[in-house]
Amino acid sequence: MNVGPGRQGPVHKTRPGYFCFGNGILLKLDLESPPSQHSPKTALRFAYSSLSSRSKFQQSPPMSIFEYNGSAVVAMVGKNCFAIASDRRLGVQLQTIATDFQKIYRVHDKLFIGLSGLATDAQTLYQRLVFRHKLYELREERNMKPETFASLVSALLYEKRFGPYFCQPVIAGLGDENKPFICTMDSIGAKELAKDFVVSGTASESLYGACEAMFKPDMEPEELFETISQALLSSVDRDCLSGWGGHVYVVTPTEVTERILKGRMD
Amino acid sequence: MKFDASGLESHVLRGGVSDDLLSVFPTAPSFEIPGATDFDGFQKEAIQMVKPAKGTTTLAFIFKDGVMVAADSRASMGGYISSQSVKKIIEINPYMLGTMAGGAADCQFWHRNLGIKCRLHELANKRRISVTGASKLLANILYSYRGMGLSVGTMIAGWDETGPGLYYVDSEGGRLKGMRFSVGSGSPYAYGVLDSGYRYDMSVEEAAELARRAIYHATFRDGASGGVASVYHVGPNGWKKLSGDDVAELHYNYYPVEATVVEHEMAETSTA
Repeated sequence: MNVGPGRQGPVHKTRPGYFCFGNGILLKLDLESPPSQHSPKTALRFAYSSLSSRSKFQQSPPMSIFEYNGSAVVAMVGKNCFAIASDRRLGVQLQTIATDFQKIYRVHDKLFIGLSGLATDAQTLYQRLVFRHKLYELREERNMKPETFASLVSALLYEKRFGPYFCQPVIAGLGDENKPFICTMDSIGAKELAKDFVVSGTASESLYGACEAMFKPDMEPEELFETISQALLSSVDRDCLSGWGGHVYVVTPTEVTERILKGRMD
Repeated sequence: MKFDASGLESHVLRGGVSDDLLSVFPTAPSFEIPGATDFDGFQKEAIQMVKPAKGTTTLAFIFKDGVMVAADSRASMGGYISSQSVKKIIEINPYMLGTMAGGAADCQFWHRNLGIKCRLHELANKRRISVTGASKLLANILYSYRGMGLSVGTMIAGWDETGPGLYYVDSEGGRLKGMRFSVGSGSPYAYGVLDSGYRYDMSVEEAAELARRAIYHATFRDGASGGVASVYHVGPNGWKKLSGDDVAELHYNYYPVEATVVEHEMAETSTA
């Protein structure tokens, strides 16, 4: 891994494979090793299959690894603004572990990414994205455009074509002249651009229905917040694996509003 | 093969002595059996097709003033919530309740069937059936269908001549007498609350609150339980529904959201 000479900024190379950041945190980069043979996902899938027969009165078909933790993420476009929202649950199958879990991450003030799917992969993927975005910032001395960021995410995902991150990202940002941009992709990086709204997660079917019914073009930020919140809350009320509150960001060219939604806690 | 489905037919009460001995024991009508060569395999497939997997939390316990029975109200198919308003406490007769976990159709059908059998017992013997007897009727029927894919996990709670009664009956053929039971995917969570809060000499109000709390906590942790927490009490004069609270409201009653202190903006200090 080479960082261009004279462009390293606060990143100092200490040992091969390690970079020391300004704050002293060591981040190990394991770029040489091939996609691991002993992937933690394999272990997870085993753990999962032994769990799936836990109760004789709860016999459902085996859940997909995408549904292991449960999630709901949605993004909508308004007039010169966008909103991105997620639920707050982290579960292990049907067991709720936490109700304050973060699924939407800020990349910079006008660019957000929501990661649904397997939580451990979402966090790993986010860390790699932060790293790549920081390198870009250092080299280019500007923020990444949403379109560029989407391509970056797509590339990182396709890198793991045969052992993917079990995540379905939703990207939302304001681009040149504050033009809103939203897109989603599958776990191996097939981009899907949309003009109105995108959804992902275990509640995606319900979200499609709710958004299809509630979305109007060119909403102002206040109405956009109301719409995305109602769509999210009504959708997760039909899903066992997501909900337990909501998290909404509304982003305009001048400000970012973050709100926590109260929801049904069952 | 013949299977008992006498509950399906209208029963004719017989009086006097019949000379035909066989007519006293009429052959029971039976469910049709599929004419497949691989019966077990066919059965397995068919069960998966018709049985919606349904997560549940139900509980019941005996205390000084009778039996408290409570349940949630969610029906789910996989991750999808198909209903938030299912009646999981079945009223068998004015003195007896059954709870529902497992296959909805199996539970509903066999509880109704049990209700019929209990009424017939009442007419024939001029006294109400005991909880022991009723639970045994159900357990025997379920045992005769063992291995054929019925899915029932139930508690029979009631009041008879001997006082309060509580039995756990399941489709594997099990029948247990006890003071405290919880059945369903949310039962581990409900047991946690129930075991730590249970006392025999509770008042009806305390017992109802314990039951409600146990259901609420189960709905919070278990993704397959939710909706409304209904609480029934069975006393010497029969059962009575005490409450049916939406657990979304219960949550914010038990754990009110404190208004977060908004970060104070920097105010300009007056230059004194």
